[in-house]
Amino acid sequence: MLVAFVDNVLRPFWVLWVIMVFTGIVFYAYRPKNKDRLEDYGNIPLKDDNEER
Amino acid sequence: MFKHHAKLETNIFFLAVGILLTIVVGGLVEVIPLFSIESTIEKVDGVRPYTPLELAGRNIYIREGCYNCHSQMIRPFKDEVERYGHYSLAAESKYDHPFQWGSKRTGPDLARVGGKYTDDWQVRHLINPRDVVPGSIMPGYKHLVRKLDYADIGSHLKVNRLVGVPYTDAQIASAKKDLEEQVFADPAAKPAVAASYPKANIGKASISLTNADPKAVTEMDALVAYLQVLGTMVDFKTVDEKAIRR
Amino acid sequence: MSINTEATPYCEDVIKKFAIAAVFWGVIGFLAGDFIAWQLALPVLNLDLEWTSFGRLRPVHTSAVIFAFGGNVLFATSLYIVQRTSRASLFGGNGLGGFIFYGFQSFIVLAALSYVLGFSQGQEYAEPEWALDLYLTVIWVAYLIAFAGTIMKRKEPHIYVANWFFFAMILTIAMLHLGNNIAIPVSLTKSYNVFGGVQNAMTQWWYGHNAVGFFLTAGFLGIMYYFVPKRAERPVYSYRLSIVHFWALIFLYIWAGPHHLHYTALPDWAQTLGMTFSVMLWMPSWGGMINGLMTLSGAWDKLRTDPVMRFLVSSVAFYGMSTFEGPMMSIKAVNSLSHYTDWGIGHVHSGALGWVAFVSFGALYHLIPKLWGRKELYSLKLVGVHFWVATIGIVLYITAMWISGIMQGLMWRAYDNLGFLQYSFIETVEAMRPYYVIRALGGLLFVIGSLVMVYNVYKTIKGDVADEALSPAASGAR
Ligand code: HEC
Ligand code: HEM
Ligand code: HEM
Repeated sequence: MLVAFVDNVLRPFWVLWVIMVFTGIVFYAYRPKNKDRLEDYGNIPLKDDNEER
Repeated sequence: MFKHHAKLETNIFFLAVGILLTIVVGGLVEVIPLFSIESTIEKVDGVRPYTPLELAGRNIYIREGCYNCHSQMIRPFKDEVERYGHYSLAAESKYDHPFQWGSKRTGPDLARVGGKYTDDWQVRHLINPRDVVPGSIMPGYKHLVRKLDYADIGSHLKVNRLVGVPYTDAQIASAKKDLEEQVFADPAAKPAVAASYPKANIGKASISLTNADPKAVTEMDALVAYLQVLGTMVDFKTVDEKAIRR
Repeated sequence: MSINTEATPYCEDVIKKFAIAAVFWGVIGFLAGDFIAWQLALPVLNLDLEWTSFGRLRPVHTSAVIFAFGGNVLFATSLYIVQRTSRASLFGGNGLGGFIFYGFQSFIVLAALSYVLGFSQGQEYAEPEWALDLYLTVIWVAYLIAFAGTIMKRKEPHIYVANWFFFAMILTIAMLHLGNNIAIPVSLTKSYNVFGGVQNAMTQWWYGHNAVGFFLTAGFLGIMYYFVPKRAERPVYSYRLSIVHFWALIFLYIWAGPHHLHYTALPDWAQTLGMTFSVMLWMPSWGGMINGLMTLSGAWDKLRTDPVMRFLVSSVAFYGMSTFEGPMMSIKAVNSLSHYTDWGIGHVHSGALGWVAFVSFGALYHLIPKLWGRKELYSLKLVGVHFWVATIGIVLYITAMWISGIMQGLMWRAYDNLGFLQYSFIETVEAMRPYYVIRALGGLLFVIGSLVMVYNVYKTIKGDVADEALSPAASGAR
């Protein structure tokens, strides 16, 4: 079963998988709507509790 | 759909699933077909399981880490084929657990070193490589003159059978006897071990070593028996080159 | 967002232990590397003893630097970062942490002893025999629990991207370790892998390549994504790029293993897949590099004033260099020359010394004063000394290996005008000797640099402050 799935589906169409997954992620990450929210996450390391500033 | 990524970011469980899915595909696609596709391993005659002595020698090869300096995989280039012999086939290492193709050639490839030198040369070279090859940077292996411990050689063959090496019951039963015979029998007398394992190198390699016990099987005997069989099992004069083309 | 005023009781005893262990094993691993480097130049250093021959010591070096040094750096940084970015204390506390710590250190000692005594599975980077593999599995599961448990307790809604890299590293290494070490034991000290021949070659390099990809790359990228912003005191250049970087990197890496098996008896379709993915891997790798470097935009003067920053930034540059060289070496025509030669060794060490070790030094220099509650290191000047000594060492190492590697490859395939192979093998061995000496000297400099670090760390922990003019970065100018 697994072998047949790999041989018939995954192996021949890997290019398709790559492209689909990749465009999906890029689309998600670079949607203007998400911009501010995502970029704000970059501040997490800087707002540390126990560090006197 | 894109709300889901937000889940990935905030839930460790979903993140784990996402990561696992991502990393599993590549492995499946590359590993699984190697077991199912017919052409992975060429069909050639002659490749047989190692004799008990060769197997013991192979384990010494692994123990000493010879693979850190030597490859056993000749690539199909003109210069390599001229230097080392016919390029290596997948079939030739199919009984190798683990494989020893190597990744670094500090020393030459050993895939076909079998029969290239006499037993005596091999022994002297292993004791101190600079005695025979002055510029060599290979370590010396004086300690191999000691006795080989082969009390459990039968179980080694058994475990090899479990992982797919086709040893017969008879071969497993006579493992110890075969091992001793390969060292002490007279090659002219057609010993049983030679019938069971064609092309085995019969005879005591470390015979010239004055500091080794002549009545005992030494580690040197085992290692040299292994080196001498490397790459000799397939007779390329009888192989149809078209059938093994990659 | 409101600034959290309540202090979280972070669990840092165990982090301190990992940090010290990392420094300790670093020195041991570099020393072992330099010793085997001298062995290749002067074979008498094999001492004609079974325990000290090159074949047994080389795995001691690789395991000591990758697993002992790299592993302890990863434990120290990941368990520190996950607490800070989750604003939660370590799951399982110092108890579970201590179990991981002592378990892992004893694993390292046992593994090294076992190689020296001649017990080995005979597969690169997977040398420990089955019993030690099982032992390591237990420790790794404890690590997974501590790490994931801390994330589950977090107060910060979002899981910071550094943690994704660590988490992917933990899961993938678990999978690889279990997949590549399936073996049937004959005795306590000997087993046979269930895979043989070409299948074993594929599982081994699926493991070996991704040990590089996830242990030495993903894990250390996690370090980059925390310590570079932290040291630069500004958020990462583009958080959105880091998301794309992460998924693309882990997806592509796992396929690239067959580039270690070009032109071998591995079927061609697998080699082609490996080559294609390796070339694509260049893109996310450089995406990550850009993200790290550009974090400094607007703060480039820190490179001049802060030697710790210099370690971090140079490491990212070396990362860029080796992830350009790697895809190039994955092209079959190039690999036909580079495979089996010292070129590969040069590539390994531009990644290992330039990237892995340098980013570790940067992280440790930042971390150690924090952990012991010191304002800064004992001496930033000494960090600068370490940086330059080590950098010269790396340059000597990798240029020597490029020259010897390419020369070796060309000599092996050279023909004279009668159509015969021009060089015997031993002639090619002898031609390498000067380069092996240069490499060993470079390694020596690298070792000396690490001893400077030991001194600096010791003084910092003791609480001393060197008598030197504090640079603006050190006094915390912002
Ligand atoms: C430091 C790396 C190194 C290690 C470890 C090493 N060798 Fe070598 N070996 C060499 C070099 C270099 C040569 C070429 C010079 C020579 O013939 O000695 C060589 C040559 C050989 C040859 C001759 C090959 C030929 O075609 O001429 C054999 C056989 C050999 N080694 C076997 C072994 C075995 C068996 C082991 C493990 C016990 C081993 N080597 C470990 C470096 C090494
Ligand atoms: C002082 C520093 C170092 C020196 C002198 C050194 C030296 C060496 C030498 C001589 C070898 C054997 C090369 C051969 O077989 O021809 C080697 C292999 C290796 N070293 Fe180092 N090393 C150092 C640091 C490191 C570090 C920090 C790492 C990793 C983080 C590392 C990872 C490796 C790996 C993975 C190999 C095996 C390469 C392969 O099989 O292709 N080394 N090193
Ligand atoms: C895009 C990234 C990379 C690619 C595509 C890549 C590709 C390669 C290739 C083609 C080889 C040679 C295999 C051979 O001919 O035997 C190799 C070897 C190696 N690389 Fe990389 N590399 C990359 C990044 C790195 C980094 C960042 C590191 C280290 C920290 C690293 C560590 C190694 C090691 C340890 C080996 C030697 C393996 C062995 O033979 O034992 N690589 N890599």
